[in-house]
Amino acid sequence: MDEGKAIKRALYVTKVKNLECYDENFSRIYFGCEFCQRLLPSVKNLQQVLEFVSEKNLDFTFITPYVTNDGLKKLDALLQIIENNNPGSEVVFNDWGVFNLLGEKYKNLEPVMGRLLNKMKRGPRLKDLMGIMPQSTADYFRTCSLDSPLYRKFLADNGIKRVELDNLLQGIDLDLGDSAINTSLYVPYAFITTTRLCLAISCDVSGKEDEIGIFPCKEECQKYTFQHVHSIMPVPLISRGNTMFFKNENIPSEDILAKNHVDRIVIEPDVPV
Amino acid sequence: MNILAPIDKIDDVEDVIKAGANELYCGVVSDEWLDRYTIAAINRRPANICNLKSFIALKEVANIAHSYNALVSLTLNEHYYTQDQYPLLLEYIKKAIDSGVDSFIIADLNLIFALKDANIETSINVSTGISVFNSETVKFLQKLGVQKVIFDRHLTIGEVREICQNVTDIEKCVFIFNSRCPNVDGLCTFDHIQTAETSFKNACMLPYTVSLYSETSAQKDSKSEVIADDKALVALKRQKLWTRLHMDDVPCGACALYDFEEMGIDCVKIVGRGNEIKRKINDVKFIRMLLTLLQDKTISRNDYIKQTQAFYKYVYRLPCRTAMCYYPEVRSI
Repeated sequence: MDEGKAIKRALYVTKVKNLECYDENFSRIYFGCEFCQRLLPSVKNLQQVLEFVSEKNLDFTFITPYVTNDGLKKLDALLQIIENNNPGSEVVFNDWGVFNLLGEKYKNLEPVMGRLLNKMKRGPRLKDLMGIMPQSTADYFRTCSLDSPLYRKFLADNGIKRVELDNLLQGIDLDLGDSAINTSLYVPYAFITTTRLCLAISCDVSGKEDEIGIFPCKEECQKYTFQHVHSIMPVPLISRGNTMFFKNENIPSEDILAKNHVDRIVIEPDVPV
Repeated sequence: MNILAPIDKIDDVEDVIKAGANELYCGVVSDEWLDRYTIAAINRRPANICNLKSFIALKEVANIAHSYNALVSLTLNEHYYTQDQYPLLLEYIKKAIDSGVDSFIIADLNLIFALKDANIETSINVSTGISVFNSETVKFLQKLGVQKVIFDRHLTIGEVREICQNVTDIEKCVFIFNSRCPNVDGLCTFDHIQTAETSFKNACMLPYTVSLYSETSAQKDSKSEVIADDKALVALKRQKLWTRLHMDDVPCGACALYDFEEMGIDCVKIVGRGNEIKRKINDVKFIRMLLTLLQDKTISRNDYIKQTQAFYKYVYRLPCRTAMCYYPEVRSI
């Protein structure tokens, strides 16, 4: 990363209505969903966002979830629209199958490795353990495979120039060497875990409290958000739909951001499900 | 169809193979690793009880297994390893190869690159930790030289079938018994610490206090609370499902074996590193008996499922329960 390069801000919306959070400090819009293929946007909503982006002369990033073959088909149709209307857009992939599809079919879209794929541990219990671990163990929890030259070579060979990161409670300390990879930091919601055995499905139907499976849903996730508190967790866990998050609003210092090649902060105005 | 079963002691090997397993998987604890990386495990099971104690033991395991024509996979399935860990990791891998393992179960793409870089040709089996949900992921892994994929637990039978129809020339494995993880294994970043301290048990099953969340109620020292109506009260109860139920209360996917046989699944995986040997034998025998039942090509799908459910109740003294069913849609297909 160039020394002293200004950090840009992107607004991450999962719904069109959240575009109302846009202001002139943002240079890019992230749109889509990382966690559930059932929440992939409709063609109409995608077009609305693309129009907004074009009107305001903003950059665009489409953000995608892990998907089954069915989800891949839906995604394929959306990617086609983006490539036709906004070539050069970024696509954040959180599934190696989506990455494969991008490489095979969408040469005019820029692949970005999503935060679900860096695998860094986010369990909040770790925060209070950092001081009592051996240094080599603590170091492990602040980094990931990105510090391997082999992994960075794979990314470079496949045209991946950007990697997405969560704002970990235990801190981030990547060793990216002299690589040209840039990173984005998501604030304030960091994902912890996700499931297809979604606890929101039929969640308010009496008699189904102990049923769990990959069943049809009515997007109950859009109705309820929960907070989970336990004395061992230094922060509350927030769950919406099939995913659990914690909130961390403390953006690291400029030095730390620069060391980790962070040149973009992705602002989540709402829990991103 | 092969049965991939866990072992953690030399004494397990013959018993588990005789019960019907064709492939074994296991881990080895290394004191050097534990000293340096403590809870940053090498194979997602840091506890001693889940692992062989040495490479000498691993060699003996491989010798016994090979004498029965069974294969041995070593778990190297941590979600990621860092550059700092590679010297020790590659040393560990060389010892494993010298011990005679047939394959590695791997969850980190970079480890696949590292094996290729070191010209190591041991067969690579991709763990559920890489999260295979679709046929494009399988095709991607094939390009990397992977021989076998273990699909994610969170797929329906129909979704597994669709992947199988779209890929060739790779072994395919599905979960069939034990540990129905509440979350997607490869996308779960909770720490897997194993300790006697109850607060450090699986974070997905801790007894949380759950309430409705809003930005205002989340403010520190906030007195405001979102009031739950009757429906929300039911939803709050649902959120505590994994506190009421244990993911290891004998979850089973055996009814789906009929479909898996039909779609050409090569191998079914039983979870259970660290389980007592009696349990390991029981689980393998249960699945083997059902695979034997499927050799009768005249059995109908309905009859197979009825017999499987009756057999499960008989062996485990438990009814079938949706929450403990890997493939609950099986009854509606």
